[in-house]
Amino acid sequence: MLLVGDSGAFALGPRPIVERLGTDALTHEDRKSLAREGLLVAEEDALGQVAHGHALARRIGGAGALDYLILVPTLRCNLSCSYCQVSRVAEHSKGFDWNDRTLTAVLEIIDALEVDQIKIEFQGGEPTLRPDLIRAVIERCERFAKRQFVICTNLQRLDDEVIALFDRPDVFISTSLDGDVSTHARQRTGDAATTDTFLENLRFVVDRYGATKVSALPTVDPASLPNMDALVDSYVAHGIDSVFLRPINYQGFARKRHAEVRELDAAWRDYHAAFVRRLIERNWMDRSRVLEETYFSICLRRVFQPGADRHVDLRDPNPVGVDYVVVDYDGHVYPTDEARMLTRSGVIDLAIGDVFQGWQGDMRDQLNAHATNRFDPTCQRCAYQPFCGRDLIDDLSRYGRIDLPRHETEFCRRHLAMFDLVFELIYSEEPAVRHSLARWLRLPGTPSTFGAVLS
Amino acid sequence: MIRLTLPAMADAERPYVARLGRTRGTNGVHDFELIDEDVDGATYVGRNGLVAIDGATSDELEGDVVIVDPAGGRAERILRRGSTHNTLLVTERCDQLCLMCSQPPKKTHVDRFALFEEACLLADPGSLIGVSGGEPTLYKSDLLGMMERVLSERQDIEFHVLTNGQFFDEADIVRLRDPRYARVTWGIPVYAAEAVLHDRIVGKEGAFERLETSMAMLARAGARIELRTVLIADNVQALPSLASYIARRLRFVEVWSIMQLENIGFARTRWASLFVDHAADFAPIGEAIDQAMLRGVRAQLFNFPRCTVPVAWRDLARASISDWKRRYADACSPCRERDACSGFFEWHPTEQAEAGVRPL
Amino acid sequence: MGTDQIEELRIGAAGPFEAALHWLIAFHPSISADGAEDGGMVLRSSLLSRSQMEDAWACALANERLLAGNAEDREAVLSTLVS
Repeated sequence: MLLVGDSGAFALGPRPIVERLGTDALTHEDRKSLAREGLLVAEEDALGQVAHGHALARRIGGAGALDYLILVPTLRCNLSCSYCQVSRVAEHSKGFDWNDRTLTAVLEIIDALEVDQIKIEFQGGEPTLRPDLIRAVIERCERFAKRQFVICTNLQRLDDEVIALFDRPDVFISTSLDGDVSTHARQRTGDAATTDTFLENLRFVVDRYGATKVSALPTVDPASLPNMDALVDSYVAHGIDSVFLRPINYQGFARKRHAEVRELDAAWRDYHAAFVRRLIERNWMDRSRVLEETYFSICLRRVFQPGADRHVDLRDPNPVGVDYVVVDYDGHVYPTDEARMLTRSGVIDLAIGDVFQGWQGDMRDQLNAHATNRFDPTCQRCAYQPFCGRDLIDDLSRYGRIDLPRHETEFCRRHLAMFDLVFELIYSEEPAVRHSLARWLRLPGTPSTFGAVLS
Repeated sequence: MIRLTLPAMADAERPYVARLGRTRGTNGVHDFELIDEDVDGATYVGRNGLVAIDGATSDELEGDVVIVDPAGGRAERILRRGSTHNTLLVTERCDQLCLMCSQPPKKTHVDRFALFEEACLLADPGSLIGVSGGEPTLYKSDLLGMMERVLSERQDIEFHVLTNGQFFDEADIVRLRDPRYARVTWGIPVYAAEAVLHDRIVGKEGAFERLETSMAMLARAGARIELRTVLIADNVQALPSLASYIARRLRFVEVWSIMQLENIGFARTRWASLFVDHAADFAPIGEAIDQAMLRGVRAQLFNFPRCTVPVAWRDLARASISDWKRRYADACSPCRERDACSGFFEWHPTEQAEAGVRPL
Repeated sequence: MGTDQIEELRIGAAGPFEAALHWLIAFHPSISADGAEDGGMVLRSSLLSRSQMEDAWACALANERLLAGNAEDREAVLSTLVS
């Protein structure tokens, strides 16, 4: 049985020790072995107390100053993906780009940032339809000592201006690759010519910049789950080893066409777990590459290396609108991209302000009063509490409320399944499993154990 | 091998600090100017009179800060210009007796803190100055006072202090929180995850428990700590469990340095029973590193020639041996990783060095 | 699992019994609880094995006791760190 402390310290223990915990009957040996694993701190153990406090503090997320912006310079798009989450508009529509006033306001916000590092993600629509706006923002960021820009693009059109942006060493490319050619075409590009153009452009950027600059994410239809090997093969063929599996989200357009998605959540969880197991097999068979599923790796690293990833969907506390915000084509500000899409699909208005008048206000503060799992009665009884988090927007999008008992939410079910898998693998004795875990945890070698077992 | 102590004849009666140079550039009271040089050495003049130093050229001595000991007939190069390995030996007394001690302790102590302080104020810009012994914190208040005054006067200087951590107490917590200590790193050895082995290695009963008490205080003070573990036959198999201990109880340290043995002092007489040939079996070391890094503890290897470390961990092997005691084997000349490599200690058994290398 | 067999487990009334029972049922809706003559309870499930029910009950009881015992201190420490 898994015992986990607030600090994230954990060990496997036999039932008798848990029974003794329940009846206040711990033996001297019990106390020693629990203390050895950091699960018990004796009153007279000053170092143990300091260590525990330090470990706790490292687990506490929260947010610093604003240093991460998701910008949507245009809602126009030159594709029409079946599951489109962003309520795109047609490429030649008018009035769906930043106007001068909005651009000016965004640049002023950048000027006012008090940090010396910045990360900006360009979303849309298709942001490369407005390379001039991307350039204006990037150029305004020259003053920051550390800069990272991610352009999320469908790679359908690469002209000189776009390539010049990509050539910058501080620019990264994120695109969608939904699997083998027929899946990708069915869900995204439609005809053969459009599909071929995408594939050529993807190959072009990977060849020109290498795989570290390019990431690709598959959007997967839980109602039509793709063959795992075919999906992985399509990534490997393009030299990309990281796959961030995302299920179709029923916000925006996706909601209208995929109403049955809610019922497929369980199928999705099973697929995700099987996918990770398949990667373990493939990594063992071919030691020359390390395939990983990004979200599983993030969960795995949450257990051992808190703070290693800054994944804003999985941290605790998880306040919104503090260290990152989303700016829409019309200047409205949202706490997350999901919130923007939700608002666009008419479910609920989650705008917390705009770039002209700011976004500190009641809506944001009300949400943030509930942005932690630490005091939630359900989460307090869950062994995964120190590793898990809180996603208010996900709850709102599915249930229209944030006060459902945690274990009745899909966020909880999804993470229970994820962490069940994480800990099953942590305690696996199979060399193939240990090999993949060690690679995903970025270790030089492969340790003989990943978790303690109490005798 | 660079000699740090040179024979010298001086006019003055008592020890003094001098900065040697060909010209009296800055006109500081400590500046000494070269007035003569021949094949045996160089002669300088300054406010304390003349000093003739043998065994080095004026080129080698240019810009060096030395302590001249007229009665002892020597000049000690305390802060050598252009070297990143300057260390102040503040005492030779120690309360422990480590099995592998490279600087076996003496019972006497010569108080040179005032001289050291003068010398530090003359250091080159951006200097990292080492402090060692014996056990420097046997004279804790002198040591802290000296460092604090230097750190105040020179915002660009940093200290790295080797200490066994046996003498920190509650009163130090507030003192060590002073912002100046952001420029001090404490290099503290820990040899095992439990008292019996650690105490035996350091030759002092109760050392481990006292160390844990100090660590708790240093953590509360926000002190910067480098943990150091010398690899010997006695602790190599227990290294993985030490790694787990560090990850669980000492996670607040900046880095864990695993160090190969230096063939000097007690280690020389006990070499055969202490030295671990890591090239023959790297497994416990690799496992220890992996266990530490698994939980986010930074680990590095000191004094491990790169070719003797399996490639998976090779980048953790630092060029760690001080310039004045470093050499390479003859076989190393074609190696392309020489500059990144620690090489060997000057006094490492030659046959072992030559037999063990493989140019990369 | 999923057998037609109903597994039973008798549990005593010691410790933070009611809270543990409440949460046990919340997390494992397939478990039903009925009073026994001796003041204890009988747990029944057609989905979980007897051993699984024992595990679940041991966890529930341990969690309630630990939470009750540590609640104040945890709240103090966590509130300070979170704020």
